[in-house]
Amino acid sequence: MKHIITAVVENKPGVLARVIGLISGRGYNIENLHVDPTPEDPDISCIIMTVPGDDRVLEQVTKQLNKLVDVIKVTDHAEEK
Amino acid sequence: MYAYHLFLNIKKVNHIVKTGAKCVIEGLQKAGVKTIFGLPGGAVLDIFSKLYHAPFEFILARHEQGATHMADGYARATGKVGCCIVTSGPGATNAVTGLATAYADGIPMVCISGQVPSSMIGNDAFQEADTTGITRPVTKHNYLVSNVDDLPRIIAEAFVIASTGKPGPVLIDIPKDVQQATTLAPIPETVEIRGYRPTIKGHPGQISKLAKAINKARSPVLYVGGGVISGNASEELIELAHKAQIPVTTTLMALGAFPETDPLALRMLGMHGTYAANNAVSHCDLLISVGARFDDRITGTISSFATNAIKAHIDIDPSAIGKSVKTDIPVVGHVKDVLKDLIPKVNPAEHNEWLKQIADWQKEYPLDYDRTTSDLLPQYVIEQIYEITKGNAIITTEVGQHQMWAAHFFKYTKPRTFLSSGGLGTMGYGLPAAIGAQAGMRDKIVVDIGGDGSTQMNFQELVVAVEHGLPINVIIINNKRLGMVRQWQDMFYDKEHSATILAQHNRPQNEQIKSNNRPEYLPDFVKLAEAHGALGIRVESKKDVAPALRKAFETEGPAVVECMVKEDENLYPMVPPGASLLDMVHKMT
Repeated sequence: MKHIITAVVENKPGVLARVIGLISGRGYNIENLHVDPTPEDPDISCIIMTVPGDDRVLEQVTKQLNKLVDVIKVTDHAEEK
Repeated sequence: MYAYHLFLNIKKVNHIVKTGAKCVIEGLQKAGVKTIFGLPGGAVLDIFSKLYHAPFEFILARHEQGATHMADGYARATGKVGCCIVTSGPGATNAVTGLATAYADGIPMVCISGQVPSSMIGNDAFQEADTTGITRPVTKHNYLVSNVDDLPRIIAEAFVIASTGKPGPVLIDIPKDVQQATTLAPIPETVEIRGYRPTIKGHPGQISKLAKAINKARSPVLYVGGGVISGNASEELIELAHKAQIPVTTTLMALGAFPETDPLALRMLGMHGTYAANNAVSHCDLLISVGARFDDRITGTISSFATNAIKAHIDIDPSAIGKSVKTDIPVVGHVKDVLKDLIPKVNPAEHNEWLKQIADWQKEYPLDYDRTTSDLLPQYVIEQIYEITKGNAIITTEVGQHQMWAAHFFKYTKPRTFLSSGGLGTMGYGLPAAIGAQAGMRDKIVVDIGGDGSTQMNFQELVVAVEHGLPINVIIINNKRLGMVRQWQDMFYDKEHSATILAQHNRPQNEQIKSNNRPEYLPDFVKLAEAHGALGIRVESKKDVAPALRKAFETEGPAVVECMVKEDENLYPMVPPGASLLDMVHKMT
């Protein structure tokens, strides 16, 4: 199933690498990626990505993304294929 | 008048302006650091020049891997955050194994690394490596400091992140120009990190649900992991187990969290767990996991793991829950707090039938070995260490057969007395970890139990123990083999001993070295110990074990006791990889 994952993160160098490292380290490919500072607070960025993959594994990835110190909030909008 | 004011202002400013290097020292002091392990180099010279005047005990390792394991051993033995300082490039890459070891086992550590000046980063400068890039997957968090004004805050944050939630190593990479730059920023009193708020209090509803399940259970088991040790929850665990008469099995990481001399102790479970523990877990109706993570060495085949049991899981790490095994009652929170809330809700119980069944399993296959043989067996050496120290010692281990025998034949009764690389399985961990543990616990007997293979990996650190008068005892179970790998070759690879025979005899044809110069010992650990300035003793027979150990424990400085054990003794019981916990092998067929 395709997952659309949004991550609200600190707008700092290296944060995107941490987020992507958790996904690519498990052999999953990111099909689509968009990063923008939020209009309300330029110190915070929103990462939106599309990742096809196993639901259970991606649930685990989402939990681990939440654990990252620079990640403020993660939501997985699982999408019907 | 004007000049006077100017003078005053300068004086005031001088008082608080400090360099990045000075911030590091102040930050470490403020965090309560007493002992630092490390090795200098070009990119950390500024910090070392400040260390020259600082009130820390600095322990100079001989390899950065050693420094990280020392900081790790110090942290495991004392419960404080371990601290080490290394240089850029190879200094940092050498530290990676130690960081990964601490990360896998959730050990609090702060590692400071030097980096080439900011202007040279990315230029393939001398001793440059992308340290934050390399260590990202093996640290809980890491920082590349680009502005000296951030440094005081970062150091304060690093200690909070390392020691709270599920603990772990944090690395701070500081370019040389940042160490030299000056700032007015003070070390903050408190830190606020918006993306980092570990859950401490367990959900009351979930705790009640768990209490109800415990009160209903007829055959419950507590399956306890390293979280109980890092969460200092041993007392609460004992209280819960005794109140509801629940047998307790511990993982390798949790040895000592529950006294193994207690009648409710099932001892270790999993691949090399006891028959009673593996049976109890497989047949229980309620499995309460406390600070453990259902590692593959614990569960065997997941599909046949504790199939009849309701599974409860108490863990501070939400991502540990449901990772490999589906959990019926998850409780996220600090184990100590959760257990404290849980105990009053649990009714006293007896579970006589269940405990009788467990006692039968314990009688059927106890942990045992051939005590009648005149051969010197590895298990005998460990048992002697237990008897002579009366169990009152801090044991560190390397990785392999000896590590499991150290788990089987020494009974651990106190937390923080068994220090071993459980998750990553790092050979070379035990000796430097023993040095770190002894540096933190001067009045304890510290014993590193190692094999001849893994002890060689960081043997150079022995000089550090000699230098600082740290009387560690290195007991080498020398079977002239990479024993655990050799055992797997015996069991699963047609006894083809490829690259596992360390002695020159009995090697496969293509590994034989054609030379007339065949030293008897490879290496000669007694000479090696003496070369490092330590006492070295070789033991070749059973009767010599106890006197040698006594001599080692009594001698003032560090000692190495090399025990020449039977070469091909195998470790049992064993659950073959990919099998169910009930398919235990008790003997080689």
